[in-house]
Amino acid sequence: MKHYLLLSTFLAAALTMAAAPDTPVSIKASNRKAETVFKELMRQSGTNFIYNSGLLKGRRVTVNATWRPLEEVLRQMFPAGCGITYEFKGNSVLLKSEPNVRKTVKQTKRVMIHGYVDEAGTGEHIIGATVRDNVSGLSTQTNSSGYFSLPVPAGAKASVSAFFPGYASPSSIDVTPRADTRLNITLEPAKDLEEVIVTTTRNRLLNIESPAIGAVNIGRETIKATPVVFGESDVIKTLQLEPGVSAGIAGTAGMNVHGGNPDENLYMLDNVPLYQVNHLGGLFSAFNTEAIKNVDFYKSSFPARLDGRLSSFIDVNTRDGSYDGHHGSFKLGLTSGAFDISGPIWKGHTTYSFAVRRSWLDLLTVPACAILNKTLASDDEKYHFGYAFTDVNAKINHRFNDRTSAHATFYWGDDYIKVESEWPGDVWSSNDKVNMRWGNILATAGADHAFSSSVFGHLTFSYSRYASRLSHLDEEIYYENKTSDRLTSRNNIHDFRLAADMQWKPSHGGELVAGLSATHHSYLPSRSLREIVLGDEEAELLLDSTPVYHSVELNAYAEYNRRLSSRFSLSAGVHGSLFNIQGKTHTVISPRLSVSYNPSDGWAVKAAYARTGQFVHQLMQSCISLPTDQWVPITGNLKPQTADKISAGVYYANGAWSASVEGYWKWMHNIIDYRDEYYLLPPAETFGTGLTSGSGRARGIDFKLARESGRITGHISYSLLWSDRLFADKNGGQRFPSRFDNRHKINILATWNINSKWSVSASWTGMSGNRFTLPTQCWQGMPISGHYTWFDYRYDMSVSVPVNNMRLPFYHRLDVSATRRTRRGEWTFSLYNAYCHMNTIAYRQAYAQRINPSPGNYELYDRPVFQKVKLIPIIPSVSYTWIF
Amino acid sequence: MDLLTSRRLLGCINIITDFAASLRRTPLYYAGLGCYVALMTLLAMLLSGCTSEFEPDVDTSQKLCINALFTTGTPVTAEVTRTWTFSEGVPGKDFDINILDADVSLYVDGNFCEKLEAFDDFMTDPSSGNQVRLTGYKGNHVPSPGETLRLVAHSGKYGDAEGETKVPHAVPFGDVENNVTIEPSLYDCTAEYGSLHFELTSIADIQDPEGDDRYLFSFTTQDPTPVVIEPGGSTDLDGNPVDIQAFCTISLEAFNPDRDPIFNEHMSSLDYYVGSSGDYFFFTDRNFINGHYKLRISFDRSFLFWNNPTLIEDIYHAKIDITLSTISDDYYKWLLSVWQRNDSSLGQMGDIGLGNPVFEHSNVSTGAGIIAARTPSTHSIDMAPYIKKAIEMAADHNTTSD
Repeated sequence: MKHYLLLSTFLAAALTMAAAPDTPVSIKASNRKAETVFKELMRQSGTNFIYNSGLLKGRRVTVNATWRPLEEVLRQMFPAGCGITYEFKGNSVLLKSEPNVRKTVKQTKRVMIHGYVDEAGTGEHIIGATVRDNVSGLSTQTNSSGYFSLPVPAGAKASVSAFFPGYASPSSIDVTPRADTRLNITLEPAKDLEEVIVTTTRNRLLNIESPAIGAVNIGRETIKATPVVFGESDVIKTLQLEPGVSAGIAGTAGMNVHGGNPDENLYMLDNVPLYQVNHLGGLFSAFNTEAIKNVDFYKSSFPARLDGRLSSFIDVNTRDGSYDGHHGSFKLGLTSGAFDISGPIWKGHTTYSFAVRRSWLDLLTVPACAILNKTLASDDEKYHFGYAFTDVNAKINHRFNDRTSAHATFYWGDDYIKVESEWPGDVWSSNDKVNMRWGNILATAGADHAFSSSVFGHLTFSYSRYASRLSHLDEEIYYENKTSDRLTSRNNIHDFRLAADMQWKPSHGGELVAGLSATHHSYLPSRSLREIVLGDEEAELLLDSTPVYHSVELNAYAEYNRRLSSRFSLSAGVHGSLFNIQGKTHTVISPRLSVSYNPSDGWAVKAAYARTGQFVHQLMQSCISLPTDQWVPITGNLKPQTADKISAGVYYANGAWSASVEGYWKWMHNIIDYRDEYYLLPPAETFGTGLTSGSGRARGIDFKLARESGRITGHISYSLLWSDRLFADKNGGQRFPSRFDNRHKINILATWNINSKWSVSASWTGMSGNRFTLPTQCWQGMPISGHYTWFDYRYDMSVSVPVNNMRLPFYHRLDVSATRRTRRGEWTFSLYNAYCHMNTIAYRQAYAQRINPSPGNYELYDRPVFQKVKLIPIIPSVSYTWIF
Repeated sequence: MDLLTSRRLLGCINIITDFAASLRRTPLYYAGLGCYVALMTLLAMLLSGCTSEFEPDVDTSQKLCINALFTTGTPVTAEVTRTWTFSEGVPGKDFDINILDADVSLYVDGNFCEKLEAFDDFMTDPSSGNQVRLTGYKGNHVPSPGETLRLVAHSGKYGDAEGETKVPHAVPFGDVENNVTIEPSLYDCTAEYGSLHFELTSIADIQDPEGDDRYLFSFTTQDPTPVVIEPGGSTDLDGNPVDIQAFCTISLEAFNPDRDPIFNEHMSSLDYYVGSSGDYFFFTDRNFINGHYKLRISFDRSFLFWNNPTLIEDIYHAKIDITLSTISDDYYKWLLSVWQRNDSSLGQMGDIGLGNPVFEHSNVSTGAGIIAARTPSTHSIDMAPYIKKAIEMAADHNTTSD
């Protein structure tokens, strides 16, 4: 009855007016109900719309037009292939279902619109931007070089627009291509506009229109808006708020993805792998936020080009540099300072970008120690302490022409710590000096070339080096007799890599990406040298050394992405790896498959399978990142670690809001851990004897509700996880829960842009505590040398317990921050752990002092107790960034 | 913030206050003080981790534990105790863990040998004079190299436990070359009374036998028994008569394991920075398997005191005994795990929850106890020539000074 009433109303109105296709109207709507938009169009144009109300049920439209003809507006709303056609009849517009959409689209000859999407002002290419033809409804994304190829019907009018989070949606560009057409699109950063209208985001594209599962794109502004300890924004700490990601130890930049280990994440800087990405025991990551353009994070389904780690891939893209003047910033924070600048070298062709970050703790400790030492007597022990970390990012970009560009990047990350004590004296004096230095160097040269409108190529050569060096000098001078003992230990990895990637977008649809890479690895897990001077005698001993392991790794991949129909899309690929070491060649073939089904606008249902392989692992003696942690390749009888993962998800997006539910099941094979009673002892060459190989399982569900545009943005997420391990030589061959088997995890992140000057952010994290192994029973050991005499000390021993037999208490923390923007820069105030809940990071056995309870006896004694160890109270911080 | 954290913060503030008071008031110092206060405040806030006690809900059932170290040439002994929950208290103080009513049987090479008898004795602690309780089980069998000894214990209350070990073959020292540097305390020395500071380096040759061998190095001193040469011939500070004795006493204070890298072969590079080599010295033959090794044994700055040695020749012969024991595989693993737990970086990380805990090795079926074996070889270093030389040097010095 309701339908007939609606139809009759419109028909009655049709008798009185005449519709004109060129009647100008103005309207802006982002994912609004189609009926609501029609009402406004009716009001402005006096046109009636006739349709069966069931046709538009649940349909939402996006349109942006200022004083444009009605027909053009309708074209925007109902592009070809969308399932609805319109027809002007008298004063009315008749809406009908579009017959046989797929056939219509397929039969049309297509040409390519191709080019770059650039940022207004700087001219930097934008990676991952969505480019859409509003007429045909076809869309694509820019690749890692900012290049796109969009197939459109030949000879037909196309209305091309581009979208990217944080950028305002521009007016469409109308073209009528009869052949392949070059088109560069410029996007305006949203923060420069008074009114922010973001019609879509990269994550919406990833969630709804791409078959990818568990993929997230994070921009620099999002990273900066996340409140963190010491106010030091950090990409990894932002990723820790994603569902399915555990942070490891509180306050650190650790990542355990879907029950995986910390060494199962591949961190890449401009698509080149880095090994050690932590500063100061993992408190900060090596990625300077000011140098970052954006970050791609994959945790469930993986593009075929990525392999080499089991759990996740983090690709950090650095900024290219501005083509439009020199811009930069200077930031001074509680623990570090950062400076960045970028600009043109040759206008329109060459840009540079440079960023440096350095901690300044040593600027305090060096004078403080100097003053302290000055106050001490001349024969007192003197102390010197210093710690600093530094990151330098530099990039030069050159565009030869519209088709070809080249770049060179450089990264240097360095940690340095020294602890020295000096005891002066006339007869006897001593020096004790410990110095540690570790870090990465990465140099890359690459070139991009568009071979045609549909074929794009990328060639990269890179060198990376991770090195760690520790030195301990113990020197004594007794009269003139000098003895010194210097121990130097080092480990390093050198990688040379050549990679070529191709992308082909045939005009009939689909996309084929393929690539090859060859890497020469050189691993030195450990080399320790000892130099001893005893008076006139000098000796140099090679204490403990592994050989240098050379290996060659070859990788090849191919992936085909295609939208099979208006509802189905598919991504299928395979990644093959060969790893040759010690005369053995290991092979891992990693098939990948993702499919997506869009039952209606704004909804997607997906499923994926991915296999990943890993040839290196990290020997860690603790849960924090230490410079002595060694990356070692698979040697001996160890096999490559692999993981098979199936995942499925349901996604919904509506304007700024999106929601997702993702489930996964992961089987890990040949994973490596320390065996029971492992002894990670020299000679380092035999490190394999302390290791055992086994399997692992992880399964869980990630829920996420996000708002990605508007004044208030953020997300709420919940993760449910089970993760366990099974090794023949660990835990007596019994299955045990993994350390980061955090059953429940809730993250809430919200950023409120109050006005152009103020914004505030808050994040709350709550999760089931980490698993922990706590010895509970003791036995009394015999005296060390077996003599039952008064001088032979006995220790209390621990009875072995099942691995991870305890769970730490529920972890929760609130962080808040506020940013005040001024004309010249911005102040950031933050509170880490705002309600000062000191979370338990460990259990331990300890001795607590007690008073003997017997009357009249006030003897103090130590009573053995179990203790919870809690760390990190509230930490306020402030930083100022001067922008120029 | 709990009481402990508050105390720590107050402690930090006190340190800062005391430090500030000690400064001279110049602008440079004020600037430095500002930096220092900022740093200390920051570190105090970051590191003021606090603790709270709790009682975990765990299985507290107790098990039987056997400890035995079989020594070639010495009748067997063993110790049978029970395990306890860490927070239960201190054994020997809050409760007794000794089990003296167990059946303990010894098997040699798979054959029953004997039942061990319980004993409950006392011995005197020479440092305090206190009586120390010594309990356990003893038997008559004297282990020989190559034997496999198995202990089986049964307790009505705590159940059964068993374990076995193989007695290793002896590896006696080959040639031992001693190099002693002496330096008498010349101003105080006479032939009758004095002291010397000495550094001893012995190079001991080891011929490693076939197979994997593990070694434990230890040392002790043999001071000659003091001889009374004049009863009541002197007085103490209170004026009471005391005997005048002739004696020589060695104070071996500084065995330096760093002088031979083999003593540190179990240390990783990180252990050099945050751990220590420990107070017991063990190694394997992996660096000289089936070959010779020159073991460097160095004592830094040790002391020897003498009184009237010239009157009695035997008094010169103070000796240092160096002992190299071959030890069973389980003994080595146990020593290694004890070292790792208490002195290595791994154990220290585990203690504070930043690493996996280290469990001491056990070869007893209940996971509590160690049954080990060793065969010692000892070499004595007679210090008489060095004492005599020191006395001569002291006499020469005194003569020259006069």
